[in-house]
Amino acid sequence: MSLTLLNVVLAVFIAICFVGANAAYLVWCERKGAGFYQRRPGPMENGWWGLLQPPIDGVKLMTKQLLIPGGVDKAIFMVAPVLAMFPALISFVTIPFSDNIVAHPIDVGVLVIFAFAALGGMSLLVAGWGSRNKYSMISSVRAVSQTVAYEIPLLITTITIVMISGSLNLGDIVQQQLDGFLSWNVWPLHKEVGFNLLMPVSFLILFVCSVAETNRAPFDLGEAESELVAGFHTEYSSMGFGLFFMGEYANIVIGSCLITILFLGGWSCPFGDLGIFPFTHNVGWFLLKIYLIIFVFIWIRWTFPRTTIYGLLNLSWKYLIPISLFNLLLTAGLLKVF
Amino acid sequence: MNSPASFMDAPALFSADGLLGIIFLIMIAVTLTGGFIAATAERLVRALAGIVICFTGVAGFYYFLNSPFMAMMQILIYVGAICITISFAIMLAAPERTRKTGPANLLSGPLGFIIAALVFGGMCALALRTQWEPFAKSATGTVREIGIELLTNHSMVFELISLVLLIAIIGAIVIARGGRTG
Amino acid sequence: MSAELVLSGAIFIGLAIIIPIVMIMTVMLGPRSDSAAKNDPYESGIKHVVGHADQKFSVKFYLLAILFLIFDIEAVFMYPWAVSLRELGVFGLIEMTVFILLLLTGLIYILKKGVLNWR
Repeated sequence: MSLTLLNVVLAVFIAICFVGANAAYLVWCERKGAGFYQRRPGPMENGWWGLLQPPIDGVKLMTKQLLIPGGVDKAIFMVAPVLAMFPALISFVTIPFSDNIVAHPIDVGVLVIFAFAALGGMSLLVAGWGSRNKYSMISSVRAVSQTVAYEIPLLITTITIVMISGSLNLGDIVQQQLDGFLSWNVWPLHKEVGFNLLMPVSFLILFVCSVAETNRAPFDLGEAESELVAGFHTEYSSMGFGLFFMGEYANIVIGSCLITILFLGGWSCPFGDLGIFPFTHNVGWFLLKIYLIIFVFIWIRWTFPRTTIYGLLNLSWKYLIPISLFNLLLTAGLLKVF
Repeated sequence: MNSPASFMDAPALFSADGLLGIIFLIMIAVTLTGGFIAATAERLVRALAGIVICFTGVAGFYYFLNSPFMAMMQILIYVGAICITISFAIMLAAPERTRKTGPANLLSGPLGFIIAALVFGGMCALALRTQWEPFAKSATGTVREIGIELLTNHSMVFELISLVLLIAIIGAIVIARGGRTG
Repeated sequence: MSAELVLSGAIFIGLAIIIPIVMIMTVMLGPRSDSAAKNDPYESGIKHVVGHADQKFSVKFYLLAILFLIFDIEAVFMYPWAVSLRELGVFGLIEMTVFILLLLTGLIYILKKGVLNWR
């Protein structure tokens, strides 16, 4: 691998641009989606169909005052938004968009994403503590115990995929799903195992967990507007809030990337490699898949009502964790039997 | 013992090895800074932030010691789980009102310095006497090798881990429910 | 090998520098006005702040954190096993079954003790 300073700078620059553009325009998508489900047009004023709204919002956020409430620990207060954004960006570096578009393939790619997601969880806590506001505090405790609860089934369910592919490298996992959509991990049909009915179960658990991990409705207990004002970022204004917001959307993109890579064949064309341009394995399919999943996320958010914090924690500890453990053992058994 | 490396042997600053050295030094700085914050901060929140920084630096060490799996474990378990557990423990007792100001005793005074100096000296002696092997030569450390080692040669240890974890669960509950009547 | 390490280190440090710059830029670009009302914690427009930010939290959250810690460690030990599943054979599977069942016992104990029964 050739290494120049330019490569490094370019990789970081592209990662940041991708995350920034995604965060900005996913907000637009979210608002348009919300409008669609509530039978109103959504943002329409700036640009054609409100398409200029995100950059204008960005400029607005940058030029507002970053309000630091009295009596807070300034260092802690300022670190929290950075800590929310940083892990999300790091995770992007290891995600393979195509067999040659990946900033830095790491052998333990799956774990990199989980590890830095855990680091992102710290930011919620730091924000709550830095703000000296009871709503922020309650919200951060809620949000952290939620991410914590859903991280375990997420970790355990991912193991089923790791067992099938025998690798923690995200690129390798995709490489094994390149023979058309029947070879994707989500289908019960599998080359080695024959008929593995447990994969849809894994997929469902992973999907639910990634919705919960990103603190989105129906699991958005951390920022329940009607009870906790805005949650852990109540006291943050201007780009402090902006970074939390971008971090949240970056996490959504990472979640959908993870689902796509683990279960939906990553950059593979659903019909196999036909050799004619749009129907080859390329980055377009990857983007199509992740945006489809993000659309489902938005769809879910504006369709389902919010759960309670107790229901949320019980769902994970009483159902998802035991189910995912049994699912893991049964999958391992299947792999051994066949 | 090896002959001490002279500066003439050192790689050029802008070669890959030279940059690696710089990054390694940054990791050391991060770890030490984190540890210093954790040890000296008056607010528990800041001390915890220091621990997070320190653990992240240690994860960097693991990464540079050719063991990315351990590095990710360090972040996942130490930063992601242990620090969160510590913070929840602090929250049990209104954090900002109970500041970290225990009575000065022997351990926090001169005796502490002596013990720290002894440990530091011992580590230095150990580091100087060890025959260091360049990390590229030691091949063990991939996840697959760890897995095979763990479940064949060290299977007893592996099963004991689950027992220890089970005891930890029971212990946590017993302690948390200790004061409860009925 | 070392080139890759430099790349990942540089990405890490680069990001650790760039994101704080965004925060610093905001502080520099934005206006700086100050007043007593602005400095108060947000309280939905009520003048007197009710309650305190440093409240004690239920021990249940702490228990959940401990549980998370334990299951996190457990999950982490499963990864090396999952990667080398094919080499380890049936013996590895039995070992892991024992491992998981022991921890499942712990989980059932917790549920029976009513840690997750919220009132």
